[in-house]
Formats: sequence, structure tokens, C-alpha cells
Amino acid sequence: MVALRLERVTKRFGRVTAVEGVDLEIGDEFFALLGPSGSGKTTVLRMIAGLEAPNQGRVLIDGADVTPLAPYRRRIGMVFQDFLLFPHRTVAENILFPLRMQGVGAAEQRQHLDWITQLVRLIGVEDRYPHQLSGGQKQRVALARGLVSRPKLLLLDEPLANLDRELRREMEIEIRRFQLALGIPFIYVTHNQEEALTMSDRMAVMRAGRVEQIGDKLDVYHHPKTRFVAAFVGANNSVAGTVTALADRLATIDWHGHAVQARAHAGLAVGAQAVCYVKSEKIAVEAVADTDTRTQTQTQTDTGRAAAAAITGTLRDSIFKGHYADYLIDIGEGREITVSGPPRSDLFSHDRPVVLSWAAADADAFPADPEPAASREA
Amino acid sequence: MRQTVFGLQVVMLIGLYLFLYAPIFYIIYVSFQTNNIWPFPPDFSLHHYQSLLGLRDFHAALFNSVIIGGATAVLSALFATMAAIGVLRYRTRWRATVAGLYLAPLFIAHILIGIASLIFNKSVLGLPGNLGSAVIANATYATAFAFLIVLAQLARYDWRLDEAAMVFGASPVGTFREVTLPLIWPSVLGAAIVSFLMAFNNLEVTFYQVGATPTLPTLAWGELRHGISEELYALTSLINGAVFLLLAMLYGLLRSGVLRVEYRD
Repeated sequence: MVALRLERVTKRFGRVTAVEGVDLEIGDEFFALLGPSGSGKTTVLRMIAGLEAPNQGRVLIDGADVTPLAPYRRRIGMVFQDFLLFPHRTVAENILFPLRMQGVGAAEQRQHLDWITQLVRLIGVEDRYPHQLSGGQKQRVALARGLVSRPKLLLLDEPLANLDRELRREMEIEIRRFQLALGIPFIYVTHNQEEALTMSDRMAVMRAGRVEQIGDKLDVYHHPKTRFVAAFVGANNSVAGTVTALADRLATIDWHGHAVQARAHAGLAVGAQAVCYVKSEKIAVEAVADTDTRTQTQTQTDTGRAAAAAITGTLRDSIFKGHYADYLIDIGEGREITVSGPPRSDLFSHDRPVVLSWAAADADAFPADPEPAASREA
Repeated sequence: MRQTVFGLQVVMLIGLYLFLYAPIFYIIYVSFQTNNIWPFPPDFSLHHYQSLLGLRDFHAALFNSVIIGGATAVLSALFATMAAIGVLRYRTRWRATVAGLYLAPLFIAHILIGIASLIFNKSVLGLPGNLGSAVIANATYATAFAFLIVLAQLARYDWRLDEAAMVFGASPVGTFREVTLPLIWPSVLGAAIVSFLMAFNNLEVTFYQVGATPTLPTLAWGELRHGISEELYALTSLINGAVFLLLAMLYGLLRSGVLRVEYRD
């Protein structure tokens, strides 16, 4: 069931086009809008809320066109960045504000308050003022206020941006729990891919006012459709070179004498420049005993794994993170590649020669057209 | 050496206060003395105040001044709040110009406002000079002052709170009533009090509007023509007393936390 539909929605501020021709269909799911700052994701959210009017296109909630409706007629819940609790009102008054505005009776307000304070675990602070609360409590009040009227959908605008790391982890799981408990669409705007990947069912990646890719979060993560998504989502490494062969949706790229294979995306041509992206956890790394690594490359990588690429390098540093480790590997030509994997004792000595390999299906090659790769945030 | 510098600073502080307040406190002191020509040594007496109460027009003047002050305060605070909200909410490139034009009346000579209002009201609008026209004339420069006060406070207001209220179902009027006004009212009240004091104290603007109708400043002005009469000491002291009392009340409210001037938690 489609709870929210955006049809070719466009928003311009003066000569700047913030959002251009965005189509979205969102059901009763946790949907993340991911993008760097300035990508238009918050503007999309504000148009759904009615805080901005689109220049073109329509916004439909439960099949009804709400494009001309003012925000206070849309019956939407929202959780804002910085919480935006009313500082002159108590926690209970803040939470009950939407119900009071809807003219709900006192007894029913009480019931809703009991229900929501239990759901978001906010019992005992109802009479406090926002400035007397901790960051996590403010976040819960903001969520309670957004959900108390059982809105048709809940919009969340980077709600965790101002919380510390520990609290953010905890709230990610809580917010996900609320969505499952209520079964209404949550539309979550963030520039933090970890949040998007943790909480959402589906996600859209935005860039420069357009949706780059939309789909199941695992699909977006594992199968990027554009160069931007490949660079932006996940911890990525890239190597650039000339395409030497194209066959069976596989591209072979020459990187300083190494043949690197990857899934070929539209626009590649033999002889043209290409960039190949591979996520750091999809790279296998093997220590090489002999310093003369170049001659051993072929045999080392031939370990049953459909090796599509083999690049030699030198282990520069290992960063132990507990349940996994990051290995920083210098592959020459001024490039460094990060590999993530389980901590291994054989990879903790520095300046060790290693060989890297990955499956062709785990790498994505895109034309190295003039458009710059995404600068990654967070 | 250090002590000498400190001593010098204390002397300068006292000197500066004398410069600011000596004439005013002298008048207040004299108003409680028997002899107003050479009131030393002190000889406490309330006879200046008794003769003031006996003065014809005093009660009417007090009443009229309060009316002019009060009505100007309401008008100016209202206009200034609307103006400040408009200037802050609409981020056009004309913002500075719009704000500047609200502030310009501050720099127009009061006597010019007085005469110009009299002539304009009479020739163009055909209105007689009275308390009403005095309120309108005083509200011009008072609005400019009030605008400055409200603007300074409102610049820190987070308008996203209004957006939050609207998303949660509050109409624009409801948003103003439920969220904006409860958070900005201290600055509106402050602007109203300052406007009240300015109109209450005003002579030049009011004088041209009210003619023979007495206000406290015009009464004092009128009395002066007969030389420094006894009532004048009491009258000027009372006006000052009222002003200081109002300011002290405002300060007390702020200190006690009944009035709060910050919005963000």
C-alpha cells in the first residue's frame, strides 16, 4: 500500500534548483533519504510536511493530493533536528501539543500520554521543562510529540545529529522499534549512511536535487547503480585506469599493469577511462612471504576464489577496532587502499608485502567522466 | 601606586554619577525641604507636595499623561512587534532598508514631529489637536524605539519553533498565541514600558497636539512661565519618581525570574 507518493516534485529557490523531478513511493516502511548536505533531502521532507510548496509536482498522502494544504492540515508527525521542543512548556504539554491543537478531549489526551510515555520510556519527567532534560530525554520527548496523535506518517529530519555516539546507537534501535510497533511510514533524512543502513527497509540516495538510486537498502549497498552511489555508500576504495576489455557485463581495467575486473556499468567503452569501486570489506588480503611479490601474484590469488583482480602492495598500518580491523595498504602510484576484516595476527607487522584480490562481482566500474566523485561525509 | 590609581577611579566614578544625576537629585532633595532657595541645613517638609495637590489641573495632567503614555505604549509595542517579525521573517535584500526606515524617526527632532503632526492633522486630515492626536504623534518615534528593542530580542528567536507548531496542527494565529507570543512577550513588554516612559515624559511633541489640555510635562512648562513655583519641585520629583519606580519594577521582575528574556533552552 502506498502511503506517500511524490510525483515529479521540483523546488527552486531563486535560481537554485534544490529538488528536481523527484518521484517517490513509500509504503508502511522505514524509508531513509540519504545524501550529502545540499543534496535536497531536507527540502523533500519539508515539502512532504507542507513547510515548502513545490514549484512543480504533487504530494499525495493516502492517495489524496495534499500539495495545496498548509502544514497544520496534513496531520503528519515530525521529529526535528535540534528537537525544537517548546521551551516554555513542560514535557507533558510538549507531547500533548498536537492533540490539543486537534481539539482532543482531556481524558483522551491522558490516555494518549500514558500510551506514548510508556512506548518511548519517558515516565516520571512529565512535569519537567525541556532545559531540565538530558539529550536522550529531549530526543524521546521529540519522538513522543511526533507520534502521540498517531499520524499518518512520521518525518524525521536528522534527529540523531546532535547526540553522542553511544546514545545514537541506542536511539537507532529504539526508533526502528517504534516503526515496527506502529506500522506507519517513517521517512528518515540523514547524511549518515550508518543510520540509514541500520534503520531503514528501503532507501533513496540523493545528490544535487535528484534521486540517484532507490531500493532495498542491501541492494543499494551491494549493487550501486551510479558512480556517486558507489562512492558514497559504504567504505570504498577506487582505482582508475583504461578499459581494456568489455564482455559479459564485465569490464577489465588496466591499473598500472594490473588487470582489474569489475561489473561494467553503462557508458563504458574499450579504450576509455574508467573508475572501479570496491568496498573495503570485500577485499581479500594475503601476506606474501617473499619481498619479490610481483612474480608471485598469479599463484597467490589463485585460491579457488574467482579472483578478478590482484594488486600487490605494502601493509602500512593495521588499525585494530576490536571485532574487526582496518588494514591500510600502499599499492604504489600514490594510492592507498583500506581493507576491513577480522583481526589477524599475521597482518600486524608493518611494511609487509601483501597481495589484494576481490571478486569481479564485488567491484563496480563506471566511466571516469568529468563529473567528480562524491566527497564522502560521515 | 596601585592604590592611587584605584582612588582616582573611585573619584572619577563619583564624579561621573554627579554629572549625570546631581541636578535631578538636587531637585528631589529640595522638594522635601521647607526652604527652596537655600535648603541647608535640611529641614524636612511636605509642603511642596501639599501645594502641588492643591494645584488646579494637576490631577487632569497626571491622568492625561498616563493616557498618552499608556495608549502610545500599546500602539508602539504592537507596531514594533509586527515590524520586527516582518523584518526577521522575510529575508529579502531590502531588509536593511526596511529596518532603516523603521528606525529613522529616532533621528527626527521631536519639535519637528510635533509641528509637522499638528499641521498635517489639521490641513490634510482635518483633525483637531487632542489627546488622540498626541498619542498618534508620540507613537511615531516611540515605535522606532520599540522596534529597536523588540528586534534586538527577536533576532535570537528560533523561527523553526513556529514551523514545529504548524506541523503539529497549530494555525498561524494559534502558533502566534501558543508559541511565539509566550516566548517573546518580555521584549514586547519592555518595548511597551520604554514607549510609555517616552510619551509620558514628552513635552515637544505633546505640547503642539494638546494645546491647553494639561499633561505633566506641559504643566511643568506652563508653571515655569511664572518663575520657579513651589509646586514645580514636587511635580518634577514626582515624574522622576514614577519613572524610576517603573524601571525598578521591571528590573525586579527580571531578577526574580517572573520575566525571562531568554528563549533557548
